[in-house]
Amino acid sequence: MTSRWLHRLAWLTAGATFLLIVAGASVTSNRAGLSVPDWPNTYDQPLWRFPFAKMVGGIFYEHGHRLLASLVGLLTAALALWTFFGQRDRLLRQLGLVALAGVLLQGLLGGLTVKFLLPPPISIAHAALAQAFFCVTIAIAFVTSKNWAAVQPTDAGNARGWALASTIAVYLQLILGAAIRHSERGIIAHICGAIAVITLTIFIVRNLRQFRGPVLTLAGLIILQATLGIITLYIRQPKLAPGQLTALQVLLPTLHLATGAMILGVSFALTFKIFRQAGAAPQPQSIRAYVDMTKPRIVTMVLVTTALGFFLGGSHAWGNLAIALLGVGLATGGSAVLNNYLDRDVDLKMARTRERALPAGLVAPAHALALGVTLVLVGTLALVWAINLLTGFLVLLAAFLYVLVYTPMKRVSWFNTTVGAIPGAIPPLCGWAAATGHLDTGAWVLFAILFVWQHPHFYAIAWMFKDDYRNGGLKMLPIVDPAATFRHTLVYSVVLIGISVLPFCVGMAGHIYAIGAVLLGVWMLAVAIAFTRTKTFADAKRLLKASVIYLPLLVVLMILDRL
Amino acid sequence: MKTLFVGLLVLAVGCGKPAETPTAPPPLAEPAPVAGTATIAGKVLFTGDVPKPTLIKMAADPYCASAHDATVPNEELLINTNGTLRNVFVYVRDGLTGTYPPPTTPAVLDQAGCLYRPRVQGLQVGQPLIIRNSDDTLHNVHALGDKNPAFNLGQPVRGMEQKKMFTQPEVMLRFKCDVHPWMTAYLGIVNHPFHATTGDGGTFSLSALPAGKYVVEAWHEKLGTRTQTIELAAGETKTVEFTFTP
Repeated sequence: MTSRWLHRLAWLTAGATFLLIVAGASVTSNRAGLSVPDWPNTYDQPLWRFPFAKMVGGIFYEHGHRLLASLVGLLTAALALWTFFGQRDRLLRQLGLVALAGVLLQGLLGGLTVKFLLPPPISIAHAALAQAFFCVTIAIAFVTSKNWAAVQPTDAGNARGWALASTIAVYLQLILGAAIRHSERGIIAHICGAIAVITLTIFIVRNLRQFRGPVLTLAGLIILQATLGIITLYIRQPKLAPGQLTALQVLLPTLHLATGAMILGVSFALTFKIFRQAGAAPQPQSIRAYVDMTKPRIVTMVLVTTALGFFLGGSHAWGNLAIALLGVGLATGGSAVLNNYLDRDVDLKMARTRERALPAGLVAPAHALALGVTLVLVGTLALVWAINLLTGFLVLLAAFLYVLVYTPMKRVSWFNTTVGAIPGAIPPLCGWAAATGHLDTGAWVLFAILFVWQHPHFYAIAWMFKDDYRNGGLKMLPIVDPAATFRHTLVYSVVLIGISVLPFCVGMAGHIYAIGAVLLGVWMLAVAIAFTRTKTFADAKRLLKASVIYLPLLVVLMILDRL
Repeated sequence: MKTLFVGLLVLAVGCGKPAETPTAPPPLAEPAPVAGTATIAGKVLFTGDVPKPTLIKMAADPYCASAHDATVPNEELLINTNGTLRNVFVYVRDGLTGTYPPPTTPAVLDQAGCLYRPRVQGLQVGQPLIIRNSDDTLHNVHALGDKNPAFNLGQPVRGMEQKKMFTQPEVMLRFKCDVHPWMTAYLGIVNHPFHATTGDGGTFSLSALPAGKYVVEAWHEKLGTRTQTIELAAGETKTVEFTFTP
């Protein structure tokens, strides 16, 4: 029961906001951000008093942007007052207030960036908030539409997850684009992000057939955007490069940004609509359920081995270590969530995993999908942006092998353990790459140790839960070929002793390590032999415990020997 | 386990840092400036193909366009008719020991016809710089200081003047006008008077230098820098040439 005029006002605000974003983009493209040194006045005159005849050169763009911004501010204020005092709908009133707060903060950020001579963080925040505000205005336009209240809930399936992931990825791309324009950083991350967005769009075209119009619009815009992006990449000039820009050098980045805002608008509108159709707004789930999906214990182990690789790589840039751990942690957590998403049917059949968030129904699969894709993307992009391309590539490779090769392979072949050991051994490579920018012998030695170690470790787990795995239909080795399980366990335990001495052979560690590693290896081999003799659950559990103790001790030895 | 690892890392940082040796205190008394008698004089040559000059497009501000009778060439690379290079900042980079009080006469950066005049000049730390608008249009003066604080001044009215001082040597500090994106100027800030900028003759002269061995640098905005080491006896005049190629 909203007024048609309110709906029209909402669309007018959204349209004006889009124009304002394009005007803001023109300011940066024309390098006119500081052509008006003061704020909120323009050359000592109040905004609306400054004569049009004096809007020359860069002032045309900067002052024009401010004039349009004040108009959007007035429209937003009207919208907020109207919804707050004239409407009952709770969501609508909240959106009105969020829009008002957003537009005020945005004006302030614009003023601050002028006053502080365009510091990149403030300019990037100004660009990011602009796009978020645009989404809020679109949301208001939707909620005020005539048929919003009448939308019938339908089963959207995975559509929510894909649409949400796409919107988040596009928004990240806009932030990275702003980072390039304002700080000359993040070009490679932006290109990687583009590949991610294109991939997501392909999934959306395939999976969201019921939303033909917006999906095809989105696909068309993405193709246009990629073309504009490639040309922009070739012709753009750094923001401080001297010399006059050509018309194309100004126009193309502006068009690229305008198309980006359009893509975000369409993607957000689609997401917003799907969430509406899929029923009520998502119920807030316990944060615990989401955290559990990221498999915190695996993430911790991955972070420890990443830090080991970083440390042995020889870097002391601890700030980089923090960023590397953050990126690897996010991507690993995201991979774990995606693994949960893909395995949700199997997990339901197994006692050990029945209580996980997805099979227990605590989290909607679409949410898990969106969360997983987003975490992997953010983690990878953070690494590419702040560390280097190699680290980002490695973490993405690990995610790919774990989620798209290992996870489905569990249902097909016992060989999954060996395949899964590859992504499991990549973290020290990530750490090493983050520290040095390349991979040396030492990195591969760490990889080999972890790769071999995972075999007895996972065979023990597989033996302990073999009945459960059988129920789930997973082709673990103890189910397919029990005798081979023991052979493999023994062989890998012996090989592990040899491999664990490699750091000593290549000069990464000294005698203390070598002696300790052999002793630890022999001890673990003894536990493994006991397991292969008795074949009991208890001895399998002992082997699991031994492997879990073995690795940290080995790490400690390696570090102690280096100090 | 994790805690232990973090603890070890902390330990590693602690052991990795060598103990810092105290640095020697700076000498207390600076030697008084010596009025020298030696001179470095010379010219800056340009060799190679002369690039085709480009033109500045001033249409964005009608005043600027009308301030010039003819088209205005781009000033990034100005080659004189005698084959020398204009707007090269030449200064003693290393080798001076004395301190030199800054001149009280200000340097002037004028905005005339929507161009900075001069485009390139030198200035001593502590010497005032007058920034003037001689145009009947609005200018902003945006100093992209790296070692000196950056600033952005508005000069909307003809005849406006503002005075600025710089506290740190900086070669070069760039000025730009964001209203008129073609406007660029460079200021070479040094802490002595031995600097010069080449004009339409392409020559320079650094006089009253004390005897000594100096590294002299010539800077050009597009062509980079060239350096020469020159040893001077008291009263000696040495002629040097710097050659830039594109």
